[in-house]
Amino acid sequence: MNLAGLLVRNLTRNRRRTMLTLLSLASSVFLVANLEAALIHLERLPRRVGGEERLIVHGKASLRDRLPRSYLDRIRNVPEVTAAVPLMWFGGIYKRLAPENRFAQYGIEAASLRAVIPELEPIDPATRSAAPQLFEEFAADRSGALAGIELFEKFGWKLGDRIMLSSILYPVDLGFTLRCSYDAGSGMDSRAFYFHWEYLEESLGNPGFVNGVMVRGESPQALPDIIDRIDGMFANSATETHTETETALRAGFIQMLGNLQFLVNAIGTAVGFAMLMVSANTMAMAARERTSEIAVMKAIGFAPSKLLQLLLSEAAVLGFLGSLLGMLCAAGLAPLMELMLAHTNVGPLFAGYRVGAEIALMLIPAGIAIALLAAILPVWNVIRRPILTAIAHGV
Amino acid sequence: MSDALVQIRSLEKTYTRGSGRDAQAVHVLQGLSLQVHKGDFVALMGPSGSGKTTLLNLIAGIDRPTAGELMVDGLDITRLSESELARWRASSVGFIFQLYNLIPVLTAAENVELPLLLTKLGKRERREHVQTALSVVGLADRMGHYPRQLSGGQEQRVAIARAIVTDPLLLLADEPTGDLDKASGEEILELLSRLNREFGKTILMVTHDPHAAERAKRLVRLEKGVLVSDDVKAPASR
Ligand SMILES: Nc1ncnc2c1ncn2[C@@H]1O[C@H](COP(=O)(O)OP(=O)(O)OP(=O)(O)O)[C@@H](O)[C@H]1O
Ligand SMILES: [Mg+2]
Repeated sequence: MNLAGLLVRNLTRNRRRTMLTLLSLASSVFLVANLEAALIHLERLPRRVGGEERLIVHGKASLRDRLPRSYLDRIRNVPEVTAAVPLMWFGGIYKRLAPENRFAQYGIEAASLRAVIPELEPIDPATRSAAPQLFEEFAADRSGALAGIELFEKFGWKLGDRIMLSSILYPVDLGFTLRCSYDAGSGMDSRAFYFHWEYLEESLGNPGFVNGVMVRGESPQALPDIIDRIDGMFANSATETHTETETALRAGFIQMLGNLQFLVNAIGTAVGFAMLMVSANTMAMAARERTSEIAVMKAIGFAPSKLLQLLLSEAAVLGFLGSLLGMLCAAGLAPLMELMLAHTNVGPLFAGYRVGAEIALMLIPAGIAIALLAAILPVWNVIRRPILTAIAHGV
Repeated sequence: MSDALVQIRSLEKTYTRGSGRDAQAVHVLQGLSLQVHKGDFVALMGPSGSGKTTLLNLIAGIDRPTAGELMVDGLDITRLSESELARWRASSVGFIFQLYNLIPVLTAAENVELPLLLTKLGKRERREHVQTALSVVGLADRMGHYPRQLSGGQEQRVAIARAIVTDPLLLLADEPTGDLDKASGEEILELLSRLNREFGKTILMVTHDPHAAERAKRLVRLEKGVLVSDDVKAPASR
């Protein structure tokens, strides 16, 4: 046996208490780790999505507003706008209503799509090689569809397949023929389904509206002016618009993230403090129980500093194990969290949710620090007691 | 007489009871003088509250005198700093408590090994020392037992093994049989006198039991903090 052995013995002395302390530490770390990971995940979202030179024009009241079709041409004439493509939502259900079948669908104009989204590269889904001619085929087929490579993979689609979608926004079911795929590279995602807006228009009896217009500006710096011009142009009209960057739209919570950060930090601090109080109580109990033993060790010749070291190491090991356990659970369960969230309406936001090492680097030291902080006073109180009174203190 | 192992002269110990205005000085030891020689086996008797434990603790260096001289093996232990004193205790005294005070999470062997963790001995040497000490107290076959698996008498024997494992100058025992039945107490006394006889250990033992005191070579009586009698018994008497 050596001092490390003694430390292990002491940790396993009251297994139930050690387990409870470990579990309460672990669950706190688990909670805070997930909060932090969610925050980090959300913060990275806009950057991952890209589209810094694009704007989306939609109705001021809501995304579902209908904009007169004439807006499209007026927007195209706004200075510094290089291209604009109309967007229509469809809200199509593929096969049956199920979260795993969900994907975004946009009615667009093939002629202007690539001018607005140049990083969209048409490919042959079978070979994944560039295939501009397939895009032409898509453009030429009234009921053709252009779907992201991830959709082809996920559903096992092939070019030429017929895809039936029934809309939840309109009383129509539409059939589409897959004509082309695209890979978005690093920019936007490759999970969208594009079709010809005119096809939808016709099926609805040409009501002459769009849900939005996606606009490309000359440069990211030009965007603020473009926003002012477009929204100014339609101000006080029957259908006012709200124009925002794609980034801001996709993560409309960017400003909210600041508040969220504050909230997460506040919760983290509160949890840490609660943890400190709970562990301080446990450590005080554990130390007090050992008063006479510690006194005997002092009588035998163990110096107070050595005992302090021994007992604090115990606390540190406890803090390390507890927070490690919490981190392992958080990291291990992250895919499950993602899966569970997938069924909710924030699901898409949490695609690829993980609890990373950077959080472990933050929380494991924090766990150790909390355990040490909780232990230091009770431990010192016991160690500095005179040997005589301490030995007399119940054996 | 300067070759005494323990040399005590005019030793005083005053405790203050209470605090502030109610503080009250308790003069536990009042100018006590005593010498203990190497190889002695001293029984310390006296009524409750006479200062026996206090004296033992002072000699063991786990408490400090208020005044007076206290030399052990030529070293004035009253002048040692807290950490020096701790080191000195580790190497020079073996203390046997009335309530054994073993560490419950350690086996008999590990309890005995504990003081050796403060030495430079290697693992193997430590094991040898532990084995020797436990054989001396007759518990070589109980090395792996935990204190709760031992009887009171066996626990006290482990405590004695722990006290002798560092081969200290002095063995100090405070009512070592006080919590034991007669037979177990008898074993402990036999063990102590054997340690004194065969291994030449110097022993200072506090006891209330005249029968236990019989085992000692010398009987010292304390009353109200002063020595009232000191009988060196003829070797023949035991
Ligand atoms: N830490 C202390 N603070 C105040 N008074 C103390 C302290 N320790 C001992 N005393 C007092 O000193 C006196 C002697 O105590 P001590 O323990 O030495 O007696 P003892 O001879 O060992 O008695 P017993 O036979 O009951 O063990 C007692 O009156 C006791 O109350
Ligand atoms: Mg006493």
